[in-house]
Amino acid sequence: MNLIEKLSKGLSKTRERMAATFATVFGGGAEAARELELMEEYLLLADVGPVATAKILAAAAENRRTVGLLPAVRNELLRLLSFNVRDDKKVKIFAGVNGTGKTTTVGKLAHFFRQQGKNVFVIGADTFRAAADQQLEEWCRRTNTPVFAGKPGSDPASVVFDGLHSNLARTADYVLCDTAGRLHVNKNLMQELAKLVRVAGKACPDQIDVFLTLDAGTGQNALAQVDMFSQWVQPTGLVLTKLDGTAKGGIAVALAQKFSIPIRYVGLGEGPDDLVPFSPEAYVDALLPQVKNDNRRH
Amino acid sequence: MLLSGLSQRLQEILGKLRGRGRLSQADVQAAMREIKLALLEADVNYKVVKDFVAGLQEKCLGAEILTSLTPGQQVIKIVRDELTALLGGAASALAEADRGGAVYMLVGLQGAGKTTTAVKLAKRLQAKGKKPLVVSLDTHRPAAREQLAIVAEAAGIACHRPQGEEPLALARQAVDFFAQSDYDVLFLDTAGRMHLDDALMEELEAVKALVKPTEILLVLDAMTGQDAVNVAEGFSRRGLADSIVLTKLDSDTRGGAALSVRAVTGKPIKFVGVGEKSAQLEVFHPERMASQILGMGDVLTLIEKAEAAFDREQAMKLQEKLRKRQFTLEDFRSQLQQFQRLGSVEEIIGMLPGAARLGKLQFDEKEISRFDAIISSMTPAERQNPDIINGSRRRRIARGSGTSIQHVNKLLKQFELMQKLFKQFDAKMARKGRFNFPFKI
Ligand SMILES: Nc1nc2c(ncn2[C@@H]2O[C@H](COP(=O)(O)OP(=O)(O)OP(=O)(O)O)[C@@H](O)[C@H]2O)c(=O)[nH]1
Ligand SMILES: [Mg+2]
Repeated sequence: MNLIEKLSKGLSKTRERMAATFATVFGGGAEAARELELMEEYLLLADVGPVATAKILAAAAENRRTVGLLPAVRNELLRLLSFNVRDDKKVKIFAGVNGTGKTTTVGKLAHFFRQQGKNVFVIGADTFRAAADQQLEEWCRRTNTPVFAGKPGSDPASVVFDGLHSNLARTADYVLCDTAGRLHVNKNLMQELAKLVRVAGKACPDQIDVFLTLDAGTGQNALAQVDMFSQWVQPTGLVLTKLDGTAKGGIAVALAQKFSIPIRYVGLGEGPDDLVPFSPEAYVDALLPQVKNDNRRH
Repeated sequence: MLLSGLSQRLQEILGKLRGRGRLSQADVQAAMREIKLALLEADVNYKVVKDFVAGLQEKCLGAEILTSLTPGQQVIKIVRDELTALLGGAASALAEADRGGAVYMLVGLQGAGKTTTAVKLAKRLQAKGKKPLVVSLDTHRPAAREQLAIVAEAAGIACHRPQGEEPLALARQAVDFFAQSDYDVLFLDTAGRMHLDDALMEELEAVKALVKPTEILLVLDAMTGQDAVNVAEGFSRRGLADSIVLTKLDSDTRGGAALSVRAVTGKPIKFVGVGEKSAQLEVFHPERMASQILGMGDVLTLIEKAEAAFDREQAMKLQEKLRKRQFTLEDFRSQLQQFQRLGSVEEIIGMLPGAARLGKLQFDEKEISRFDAIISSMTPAERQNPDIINGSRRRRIARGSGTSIQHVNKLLKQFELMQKLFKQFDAKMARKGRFNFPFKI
């Protein structure tokens, strides 16, 4: 299955239901107001949120007259989601609130890089959650990746320090670092994360990516999450997980609009293969309703 | 912050109506737009919002404006009461077993917080004299069973670990072991799954048929957005959700998902998780949740706090002064000190009716001590009659208190605002022949 198929399959479930309503309106040239109302509803139901939705519809208003509403919105979404992502950094630290899929993403991304023939090393800096080390070790056993998981209760920044100064880290093409889940409102835990990132930055200057891992089911609170995490560490990207459910992850659009934070990878399940690099086209096509006879222009 | 956002906007829309007795159609419509927006920002499902606001509109039309509240607050009160009703009646406990031991299953999406919640619930029942046992059926996620074992042990809860890699077989062993033991409550933790994963949902149905649980709790992340309705519907349609637990409410989420799942399933929300520790589970309070969804914080808790900390005697004196228009900087200072005892001042100020209209009337703890220093540097005459504080006096006060002229200006400005606010009350209350102090006293 290629990326587009995978993404679309993940997002298709709710889309099918909505598309039926849509086809009658968009295909049939219904009244402009009704069309706009439906599009608004569609974006809101995808978690794009009231503020970003209003902005997107306003931005699309101009083009709408020439290309139609759906293509106009599509173009605006593509504009928002097309990031200029610079060359990959060697060290990638995964952070985020509890249960979003950090550990699983580390496991899947290790597999992804290894399939490209890269040398990968994994550091487990979640020393807080029960059995976090065992979970990560099991993932790395599956994908045959060397791993250094910190002892439960030890200082996560020290784990990162030791890990990054090891030979395995030095010879690796990529070092992936799992961290404990933490709520953005918990100042102590945010300080802990900031310290961890600082230590990593000292060990490997200019080689650090901080990826915020975000559950696609998250609502508007993600804005507060990114806002707060950005105050403590500078996230360089976003991983959107669990897009294989009915959640559409439209909050990523709101995040792109407000913070311009690039989406880097997308999680589509719990298997090692269920992670793909983010593609704006695939995402937007999976997000928006598909109408057969729309007059989309490229 | 309390009475921020929505409250302020409603106040602006409805502020002009003070003289009138009832809300008109146009007023209500304008207010409904704001409420709709607030609910959407809180992640209440779009369709639920639409239905809710339609019902609300009727309630508000022609509603009498209570003399004790401004129209904006009146509408908020109606909204909050309606939300509370929708969110469910009084807090309910776990279902009791008809006979034998009770079996509770925890189900939900991946990463919702089932494992942590299982131990929290067990701990709660243990504190009530029960003998709980926890068992994990999660053969899916690496180290899931180890996680439960470790968390349970740390909390002093018994954990049984049947052998095998097949959830149904594990469940059978779990109930057999439970039946032979002298534990009286069994919590079954299950693997996280997507509600549209038919194979995994059927597996849950099979476990249900086998263990015949007393109650199945659907565990849902409180930060969930619009998808909450699909999840709740997916589990409840298959008979896999008797009640709901919301987790991670210690985040700053407005938690609109609570309303969505209630509206879709009609199932009660029983508990909320408010932290990672095993004691951090609370009984669900519909009225608090309603306030939170509206972005009003925990009004009830604050009112309780305010009632407890507010000095009744002083409040009576203050009333007297207000009536005689003798509210001085000295009084202002003692007010602020009282606020300080209550915790976050900003929140308390928000509780004053009409506070939203004051806009800038917000202090942090640092500011209060600064104000305190400034007022201490004034002469008694200045405190009695701030009108005499001119430029050179301001400079002197700033120097004396180790602050700046800007700080002094700000204090005087806010004092003036507060005085204005109280005067309004005064006039209004004089008309009505009674005075409702902002806090119940
Ligand atoms: N369906 C699906 N499940 C996922 C995906 N990513 C992660 N999960 C599941 O979500 C659950 C939580 O994932 P973890 O990787 O443990 O999440 P985490 O962020 O490391 O969690 P903490 O360390 O506890 O904060 C697990 O059951 C994963 O299998 C995804 O893309 N799709
Ligand atoms: Mg983890």
